[in-house]
Amino acid sequence: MAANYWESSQFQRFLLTRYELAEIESIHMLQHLTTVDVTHLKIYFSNLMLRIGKRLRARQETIATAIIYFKRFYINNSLYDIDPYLMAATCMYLACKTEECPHHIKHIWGESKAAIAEVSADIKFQYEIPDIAECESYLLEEMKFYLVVYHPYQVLIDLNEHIKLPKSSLQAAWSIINDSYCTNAILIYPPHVIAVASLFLSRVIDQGILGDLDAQQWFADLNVDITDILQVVNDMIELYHTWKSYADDKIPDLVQKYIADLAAVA
Amino acid sequence: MEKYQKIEKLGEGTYGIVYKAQNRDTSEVVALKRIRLDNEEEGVPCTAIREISLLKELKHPNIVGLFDVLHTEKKLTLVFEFMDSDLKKFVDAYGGDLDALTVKHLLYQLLCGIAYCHRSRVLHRDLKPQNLLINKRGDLKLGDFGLARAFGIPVRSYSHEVVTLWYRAPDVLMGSRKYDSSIDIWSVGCIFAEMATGRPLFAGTSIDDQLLHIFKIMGTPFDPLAAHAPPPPPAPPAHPPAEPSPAERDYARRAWPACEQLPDWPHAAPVYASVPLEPLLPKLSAPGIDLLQRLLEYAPENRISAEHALAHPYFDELRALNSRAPAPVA
Repeated sequence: MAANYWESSQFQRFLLTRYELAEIESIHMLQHLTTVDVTHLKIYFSNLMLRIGKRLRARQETIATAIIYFKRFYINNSLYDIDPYLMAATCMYLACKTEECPHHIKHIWGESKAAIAEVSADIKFQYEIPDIAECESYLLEEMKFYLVVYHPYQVLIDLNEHIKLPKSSLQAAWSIINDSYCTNAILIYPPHVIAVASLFLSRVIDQGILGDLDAQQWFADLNVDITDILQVVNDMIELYHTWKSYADDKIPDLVQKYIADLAAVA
Repeated sequence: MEKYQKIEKLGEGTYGIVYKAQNRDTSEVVALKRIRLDNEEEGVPCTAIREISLLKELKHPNIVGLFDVLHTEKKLTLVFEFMDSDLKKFVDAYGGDLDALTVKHLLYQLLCGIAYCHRSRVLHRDLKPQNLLINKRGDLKLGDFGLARAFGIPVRSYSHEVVTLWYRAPDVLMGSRKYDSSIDIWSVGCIFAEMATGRPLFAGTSIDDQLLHIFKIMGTPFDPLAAHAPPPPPAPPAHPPAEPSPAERDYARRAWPACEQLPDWPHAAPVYASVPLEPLLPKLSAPGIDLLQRLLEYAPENRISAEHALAHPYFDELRALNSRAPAPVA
């Protein structure tokens, strides 16, 4: 279902402002995480779900849905409330069901365990299958059973009908959308804003992306708030900047320490 | 104490028992669908997830309302708007003899609900009279989105009861996986005919038998581009303009481009000519027969859309009635 974003629960119930999210994330800072740490955590868990998804041969939209579920859950809960590794597996399990590519829970459990072991042999994932089933009920409750989500991918495909990007540029824009799931963009902006921002960035990267079209005119004619677009572009540039200092193998310790700190306070 | 007081058991749905119940605080009467979650090795059934997620987003007068989802450790309860009956019971209650205007009203509402689903890019995929709910005011609403799935429609449901084949489109019966909104339209055609006669139009008992039932009335389809295709009938003289001959009508109804390339194309099926629909559906007017034929086109791409069906002359009578009705008091 993709024709009705303005009537969707995603637009009407789940969209947050930048300020609201900043306030939510300030809680992390209480535990001495830096903004860079917070960004690294986002990259880390998005990558983890990507790994699980790839093992399941899930489509990119299904993985994106799982990442949104994960983000929604931790808006109102801390990493100490439910282990993020268990939650990541559970989000994939539920997303596969809503996106109509269901897998048996045992399969999800096995592939999640394998994907986590791939990241680091030191991470403890001592959960069993019933833990995923139980975790699913917390996740469903948290989201009040609103499970349909909208992504920028379809918008990009629709836009491309008009502008006919060369294959390499379409691929670039698609990859930028993938990366946008490491930011908060999908919690703040409608999918079309992220799609257009990704197009804009891919144009910067790959001149001539819009073929014979007058690119400035094309962007000017879009009925989209240009400040929103620039804000997303800015977030993406910041993300790529922070990505330079990112290393997968450093994060498991950060996660463990952070959860231990939270436990000490709780 | 529970929020809802059970009144009676209404039946068993695809994946759970349905009760009539009353809200203790507001006295509102609702329908409760109970799903047991007693297997701790499995999460919430996929069919339930699918139904909940879609009904949380789809809000339309011709789609059953999902008011609430109650979640406890051992069960999941979906709280639906209460509907008195379904189309199957409704038709049976009239001894299969609905008057022509009622049929028109019901079909119009069915198409409104389906058009809304299709605009939202949702396929129902399991339309049948038992899934179309009716209340005392004569409102018809689509219910039971539980079997909606993307890949293949299972022959057996979650509870292993056999899912009926009577409303399934021929392209799906022949193994097509590239189906779209046209599969719901075929079902609407079958339901339309059933309302008009009181009997199912194609009541097969297996996939092959279902196809035979369809072929015996609609004619056995053929690929007009295949080498062995029958030659098109001779064109009628352009002057004076003539009604299409029976041979031309039969050819047009049975021609289905590329049908023989479907995975389960029935090679051994006997070749039947199509039969005229008018004698089978004496209660339908000429526009009604025309609409039915457009709903039951073999080639999915030629089947009329729900949106276009709503604009068909068959419904002119309803539009005339509406415009004559007194203006609503503001």
